[in-house]
Amino acid sequence: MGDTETVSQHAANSSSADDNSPPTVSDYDLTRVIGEGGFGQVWLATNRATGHLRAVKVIPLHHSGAKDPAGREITSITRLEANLRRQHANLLNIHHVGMTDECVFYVMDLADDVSGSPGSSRPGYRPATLQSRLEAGPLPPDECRRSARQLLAGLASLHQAGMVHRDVKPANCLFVDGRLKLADFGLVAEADPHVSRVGTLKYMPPDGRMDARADVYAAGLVIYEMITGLPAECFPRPGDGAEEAVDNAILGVLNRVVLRACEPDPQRRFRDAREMLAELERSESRATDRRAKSRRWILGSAASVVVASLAALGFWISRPSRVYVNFVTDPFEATIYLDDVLLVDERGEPYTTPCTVDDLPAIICRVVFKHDDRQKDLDLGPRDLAEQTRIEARWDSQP
Amino acid sequence: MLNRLQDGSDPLAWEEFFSRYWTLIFGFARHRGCSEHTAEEVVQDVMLKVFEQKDLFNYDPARGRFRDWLGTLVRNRVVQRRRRPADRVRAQGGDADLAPAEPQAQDDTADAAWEVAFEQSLLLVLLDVIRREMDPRAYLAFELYTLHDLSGKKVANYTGLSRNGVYRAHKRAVSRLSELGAAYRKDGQLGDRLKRAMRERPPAAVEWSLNTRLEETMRSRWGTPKP
Repeated sequence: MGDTETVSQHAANSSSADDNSPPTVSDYDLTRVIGEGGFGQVWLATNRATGHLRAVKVIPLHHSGAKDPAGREITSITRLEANLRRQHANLLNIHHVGMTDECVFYVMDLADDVSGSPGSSRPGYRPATLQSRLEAGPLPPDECRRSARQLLAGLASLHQAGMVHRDVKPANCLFVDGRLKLADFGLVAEADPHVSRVGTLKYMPPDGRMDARADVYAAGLVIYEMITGLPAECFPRPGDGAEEAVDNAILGVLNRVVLRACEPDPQRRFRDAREMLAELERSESRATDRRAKSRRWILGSAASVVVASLAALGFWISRPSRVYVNFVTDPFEATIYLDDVLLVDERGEPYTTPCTVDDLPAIICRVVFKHDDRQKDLDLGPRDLAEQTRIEARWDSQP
Repeated sequence: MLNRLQDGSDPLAWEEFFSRYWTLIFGFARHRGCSEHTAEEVVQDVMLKVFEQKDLFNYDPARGRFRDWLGTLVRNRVVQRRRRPADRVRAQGGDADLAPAEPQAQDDTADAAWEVAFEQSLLLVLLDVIRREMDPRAYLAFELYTLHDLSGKKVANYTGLSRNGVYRAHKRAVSRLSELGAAYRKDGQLGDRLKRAMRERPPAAVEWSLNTRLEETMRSRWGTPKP
């Protein structure tokens, strides 16, 4: 098992967290722990001068483990600041990085409360994360689209700067002023296929690489969770709302993007979040165009309904019968050749029996079914397929 | 897996145990009239018992099947939970009262319910096996087309497969399921049984809640979050 060092921001309700006395850091009063993880705690903090509320992450310098988490966190943040030319609206703002004798700390925006109201110092405050949002079920389609775009925009800015996040997951997506921001940059590294395998195991791709395609895979799983309300382990199960999701154009687009992002073969995934976001936008615009065309067609048809009815009457009378055929064999799974040409679908995949195929040529002479090394050859002579709805063949038990 | 569990140092074995059995325990508790809340508590109790290894060492393979050993453990927890008034009050919607039947009749009903729940959980495990084996796009197409009865055209549009691709995915999955669950081949009821088992799947909210609890348990035990 690889490292699973993560810091997730969630309500701290354990008694051990409450017993902690707050560390002392310059300019801020730390009130209480609002999140914790493997190597540090996130505190609710008030700026002594301005009274602004912030979140302050504190990483002890003297850690019991063999690694140096504080050093790594500083390296990651320095790298982030050096590579990102300006703050991105979908990355959590880091306002200040500092160090005391005992810890490294950095000051961040405070997330909204889970109720949706702005972050506050009231006792019941819990930071709003995508994780807490998902505990209430799947996101409505519009919110799903908005959050997916914001997540990908934040991640794309990292990829554009030549970095990888390595820990994309719902607990690291915070809401600040209602906008989704990718957070926790402790594992950010320069994009390199040989970068070490860290992060959260269930969001890691099966190929084990930790490059931009791995971030794409994790982002795909996060969007999957938004669509279905199911945890990432359940991918690609459709969840309880399958019937509604399949009929929804927005979710259809998102789902196809997710499936490509989570391809087991990394070469078939999007190269990075920029490509993934671009594909999402292209698909959405294609879907919108199709809907607009469909609306125009309905309006146009309504305007000329009388003329069209008369024309249609003539059309239906003279229209040839639709050519479709059911191909059936026993056993199943035979491929089909019509006049020596393998029958394939629009993606080039061979049809196998039993299947129904439409848009066939009107006249054929010969049908061959092939199953393993056996074949059935049906010489039909010139046959009009419009008159044929079923073609079948059966093999005896012995080849 | 039981050996790895008894060893006590393998978090992946615990996770495997949890993911394989929690739906079974939850489903059985619901069948026995527990509310979702109480059923979650039963899952938590049983998992903690096994995590703490208090009961694992009492399981003797020579004396019976693991299924029966786990069944006894779960049945006892259900009875204990339902006896606690605090849980009955807290439970959303309350727990259904057990019929005041003879103890022997109650045992028989519980045994039958356990067998049903066990069979359904086995079918869900079969589905999970093919989910991990198949290409995700093909598996999704299979589940939508075969188990949710959606049309090939809709499924093709949703998954980005061709209609032929949807049918191929269906055929591949059914053939693999028949291989794995050979006992169901004869009566041709595999599809119906799978649909029934899927209807009994716990809601997503319960899945989240129990995953979070497992994460907390694993963090306290091994110091790392659930992988």
